[in-house]
Amino acid sequence: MSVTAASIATSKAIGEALVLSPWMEVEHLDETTATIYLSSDGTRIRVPLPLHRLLLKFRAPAVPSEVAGAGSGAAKALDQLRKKGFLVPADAVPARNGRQVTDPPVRLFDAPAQKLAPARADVVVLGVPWDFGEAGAAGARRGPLAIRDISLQLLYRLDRESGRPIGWYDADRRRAILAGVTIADAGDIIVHHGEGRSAVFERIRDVLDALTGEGALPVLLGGDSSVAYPLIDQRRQNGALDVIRIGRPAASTGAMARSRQLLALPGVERYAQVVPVGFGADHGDDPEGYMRVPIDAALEHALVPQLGEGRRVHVGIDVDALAHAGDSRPSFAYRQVHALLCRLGRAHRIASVDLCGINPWAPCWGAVSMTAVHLLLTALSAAKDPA
Amino acid sequence: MTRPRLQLPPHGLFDWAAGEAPARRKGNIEVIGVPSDFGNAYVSGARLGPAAIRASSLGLPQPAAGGIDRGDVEVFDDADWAQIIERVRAAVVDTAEAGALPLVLGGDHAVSYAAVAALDQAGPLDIVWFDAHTDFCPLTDTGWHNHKQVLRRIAGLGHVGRMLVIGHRGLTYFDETQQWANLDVIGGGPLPESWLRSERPLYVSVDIDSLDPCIAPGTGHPVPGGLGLPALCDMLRTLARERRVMGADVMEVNPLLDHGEMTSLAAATALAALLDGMAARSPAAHRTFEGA
Repeated sequence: MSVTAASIATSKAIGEALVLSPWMEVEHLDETTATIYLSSDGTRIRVPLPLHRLLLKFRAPAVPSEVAGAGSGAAKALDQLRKKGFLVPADAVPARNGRQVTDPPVRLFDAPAQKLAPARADVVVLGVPWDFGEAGAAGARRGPLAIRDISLQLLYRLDRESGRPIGWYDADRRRAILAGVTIADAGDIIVHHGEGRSAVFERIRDVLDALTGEGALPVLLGGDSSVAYPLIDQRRQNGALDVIRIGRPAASTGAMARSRQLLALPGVERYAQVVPVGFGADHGDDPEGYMRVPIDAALEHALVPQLGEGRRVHVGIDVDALAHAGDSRPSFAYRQVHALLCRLGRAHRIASVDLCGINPWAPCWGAVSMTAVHLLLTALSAAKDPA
Repeated sequence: MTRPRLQLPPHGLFDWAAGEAPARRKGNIEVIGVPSDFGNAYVSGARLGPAAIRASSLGLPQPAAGGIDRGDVEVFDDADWAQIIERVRAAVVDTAEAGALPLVLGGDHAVSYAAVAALDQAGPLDIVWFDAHTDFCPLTDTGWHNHKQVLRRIAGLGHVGRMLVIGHRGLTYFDETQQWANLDVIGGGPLPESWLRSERPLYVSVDIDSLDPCIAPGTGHPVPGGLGLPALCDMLRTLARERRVMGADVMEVNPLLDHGEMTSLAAATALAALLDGMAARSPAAHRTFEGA
């Protein structure tokens, strides 16, 4: 029998000292089995109790062949655990600096869970429960959880035979959308008590780097609209990017500063703020590359020509700016935003999407959230199957 | 047949008299409340709809057609869902057999099945169904009534003729417009001419989610981009004026999700428009089963 490269690698791995991953945790333990997982990326496995006991012998560095006997079934099982990351080389133990994401109790549209690894899905979802960026966004940190709950009214389903996503049907456009487009949900970014913005935003960028390595389109669920910053920062590193933000004009100094900061990032060339009818157009002191466009003008003619055709764009939707009962402020009608997203999808390449300002404490949450979910799917359709 | 026992509300819809049906009932409009949301497993609160609609109706001018409010079907006496459906059916049968016209306040939309089933002596009966959804989900795996497939069940009733869904929109799992040979689905007005030119009796069901959520946020499954209230009222008034309405309902008002009673007020306003249309039609032509 020939000796394969894989078997050589396995033998070599078995010969080196290994140690338990600092991320290894126990989820369940009984008389016969243990369910163990890596809190770093959610990898889970159920193992026989004897193997679990064997695994614990690697609390201190040990060589698998010495612990389990070379070539034994136990040694092979340990090697499987090494491949899954439960055992790591003793001389290369990753620093444990806290979990980066949490598993939500439900996933967006009940789509599959995504580990903290390059997603093979076409679309990968990440929640950011962060609302320190805007005074009026208090409560929006619960947005990712709440929007996932609402999204269960529009389940992601696979064809029984092909295993491909069925997608949905847009009754207003009379066409199927997102058929065959795979979606996965990576959970929520962890935000520790008292943690600063720079640390959280850095974590968002790191997680997005890990998730989008295979080309998945990231969707970020806020949180307030400040969390779009690390997403845009991450996306612009893969090529020139324009930002299209569908929301009310910035009302705080922080929000105003963010558009300037984004435009200062290399690769971010234009920032188009689409505002509800009732807000004026550009101010004189807007930075170069910034444009403010009322949505009726955007739909009529202005936005797409100003940007040019075929741009790579990030699209952000502020849920707080969607029309709802009892809100007398200028706001967006659903059909306006729906039409604009469809148009953007035809004219540009949508590289990422954020849905921010999701706040379950806001009035008429049920109605607003359902509108938001509709618009998110419309944005994804605009990105993945524009027509 | 024993007349079903109904629970008296504190006041009647539009401040009509509340209580037992009068001796002479032919042509009367009789309100029957059904404070049940058994048919909706996702969100509760529509059980509070009848009381909210009645309360909001007090702030509106009296509609041109009058009636009596017989009260609510008993729901929370440990009865199971199937019993409640049967109680609703019995209450509507009692109304219909006396020649009166049932006006049912829900409750979730599954309740409409009982009301339509009770009108089997009026058939063939056409249905106009104002709704953001087609309510035509498959019946697989469900031996019970629910609000997602209530129209499919109604379609199977022997006395039901054509059906028209108005207000369907938004994202669905598949193209729901091609469900049944006798089912027409439109997103909004105008009313198809053929639906105004028929001598068949008509049942009108209004799911309040046919309205835009900006107008009627208090409902369990809102869908953006819905009808405006004036448009809904115009269609209801026209239908009631042109067709012989044998019964009607308004469903899915959920006060727990409402904002400033907007939704219950919209429901009461829609009912008033329907009643105005009925009053505009020759009473003899629409208020009895004669000629059905």
